[in-house]
Amino acid sequence: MNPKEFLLHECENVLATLQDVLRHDYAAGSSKEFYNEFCERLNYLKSLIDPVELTDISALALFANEVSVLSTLVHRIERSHAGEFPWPFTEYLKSLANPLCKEHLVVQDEDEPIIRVYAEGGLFSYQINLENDLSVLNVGRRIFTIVFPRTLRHHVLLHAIFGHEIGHAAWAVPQHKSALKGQVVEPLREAGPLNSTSQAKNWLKQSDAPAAIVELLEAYPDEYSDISPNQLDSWFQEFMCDLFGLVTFGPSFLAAHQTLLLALDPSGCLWGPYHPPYVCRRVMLWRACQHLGWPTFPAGIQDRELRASCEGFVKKYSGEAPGKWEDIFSQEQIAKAVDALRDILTKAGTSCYLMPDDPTLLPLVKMLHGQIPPCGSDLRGSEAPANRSVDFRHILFAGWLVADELSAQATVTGEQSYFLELNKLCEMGLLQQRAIDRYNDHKAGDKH
Amino acid sequence: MSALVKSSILKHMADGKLVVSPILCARQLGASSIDLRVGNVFLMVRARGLSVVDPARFAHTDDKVGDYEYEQARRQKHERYEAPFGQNFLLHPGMLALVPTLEWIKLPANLQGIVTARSSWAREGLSIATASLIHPGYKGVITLELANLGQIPLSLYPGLRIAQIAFHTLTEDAAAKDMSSRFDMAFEPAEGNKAHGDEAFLPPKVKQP
Repeated sequence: MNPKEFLLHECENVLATLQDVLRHDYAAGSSKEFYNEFCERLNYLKSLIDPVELTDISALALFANEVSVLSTLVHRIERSHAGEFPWPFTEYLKSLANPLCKEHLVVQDEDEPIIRVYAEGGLFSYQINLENDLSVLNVGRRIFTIVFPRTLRHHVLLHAIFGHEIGHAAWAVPQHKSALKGQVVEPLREAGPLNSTSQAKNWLKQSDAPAAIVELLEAYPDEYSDISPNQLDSWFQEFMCDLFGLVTFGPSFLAAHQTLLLALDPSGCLWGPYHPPYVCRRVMLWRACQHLGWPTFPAGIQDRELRASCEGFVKKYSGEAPGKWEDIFSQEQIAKAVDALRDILTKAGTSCYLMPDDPTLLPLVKMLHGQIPPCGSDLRGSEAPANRSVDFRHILFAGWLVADELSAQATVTGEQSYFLELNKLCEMGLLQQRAIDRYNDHKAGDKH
Repeated sequence: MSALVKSSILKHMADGKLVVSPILCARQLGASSIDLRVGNVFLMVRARGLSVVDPARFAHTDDKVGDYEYEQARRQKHERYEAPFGQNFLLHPGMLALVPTLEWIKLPANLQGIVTARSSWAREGLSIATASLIHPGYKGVITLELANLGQIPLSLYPGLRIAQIAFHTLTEDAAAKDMSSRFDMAFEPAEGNKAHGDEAFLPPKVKQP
């Protein structure tokens, strides 16, 4: 069997596998779209392979790669069981990502991507896998794959970290990348210690650097004392994605970000080729909160106790450290970047997080205190229930506020099970909110 | 002991003592009951090599939690299926599935709940709640034991009103110590301990070497 024959044979194998995985039950919504997209791509790929001469090595190599990509994607459908990730959360996540990831394609004028979801092992497996540019198979819709950590299946509070991952997804969409790069990243790059690689190297060696950094540079001078241009590019993408997470998910993002990143690096000072030190990201988020007016909650929340709780929360999860080593951006830089980001999101149709008011947040917090799933359910015992639509991000915020209170108690009692229970209550709340919204939308549709 | 009529149910809810959340529409409130909707998890009982209901497996459970045999036996019995809104689940004739309600229930110490089928579904052969008593003080979802006694498959969708709960007042508040249940704070169906308190009638505990 020559390479071309084998590629055509493998196309048939991929189709057979695609049909075989229909034996399993997958999440509703996009399985049929995914199947149809695949058939279209396979047919197109076969039509490209068919006329290729055996001597055209580069074309064969290119098509081999495309067949391999399709094979990988098919395997992912097989792992998309709805029971392995919180689909009510996923539905809300899609509603944020879909308008942003719409793109102009060859066939359709504009279309949303097909979003597939599956669970993966590993504590830090949160990611959105982006399909490459559709350079060869420019025939359909781009496929995004959202990956949840299997072990955190119920931990919807931590899933606020997906705000960051949506940032990476937006970066991959051509019409957003240039805007994000020019309007969000550039203001961050134009001044400060990360302005150039040489400045960055000097910054690492500054005398006011945290002790952990000094120790790291002493212990591993070869690995850590250099910062390459590519590394800086990656770091700025991370900074942009952090702002993305904050602007889209609000304070819940701060808590999820800190909980997960400090678990990975308790010192907060490690960095890698793609990720800057957490301490810098934390201070940047504090400046962004300042700009958004969140530490003082000027409007909306009037209840004194709730207000104090919200303010304490933002303070705890963002790092106030003006003038310190880790404070690498000025307030003006952050203001520019955040405003530009909000503008890009609004134009794309993705809603930025807006702080809730008392009538929205208080009932959710009270429901959690009473061990009731938080949602817009009318608990008054009315003959004509008036259930409200509640933004899912407020449910997450309420969950984190209560988690914070219970965490303080758990420090005394040593009882840690509260966090899973709270997450499950919030997960149930998201499910019930979807039921409320679905019912109310249907009713409104009937009226019209 | 007497059953609550709608106005009394609503009064208990207004006082915050009774919670049934969410109630999506007025139609869900009956003269003396509240309709309950299908949740989104289905635990289907499946016959496999190691599927068995044997109370002896539950005896002395405290010694067994985490053991391979104990945990495997528990999980071999059911297949878990999760259906988003708009996706159906087929309950085939003769099949038993455990399904949570969409609603979260909290009962005060002086009320007990009685769960029954809605007659429209019962007429299609659907048996809903064989263990229908909900203890005072309970909080969590309610597990419905769905069995298709008819001849043809029944298509069920999360969100459908399928059961109803009525409330009975008790002669006095139940004692706090009597209200705890292993199903408390249930988010989805789980099997019960069928041996608890009856160990005397089961094979003796095997001493570990």
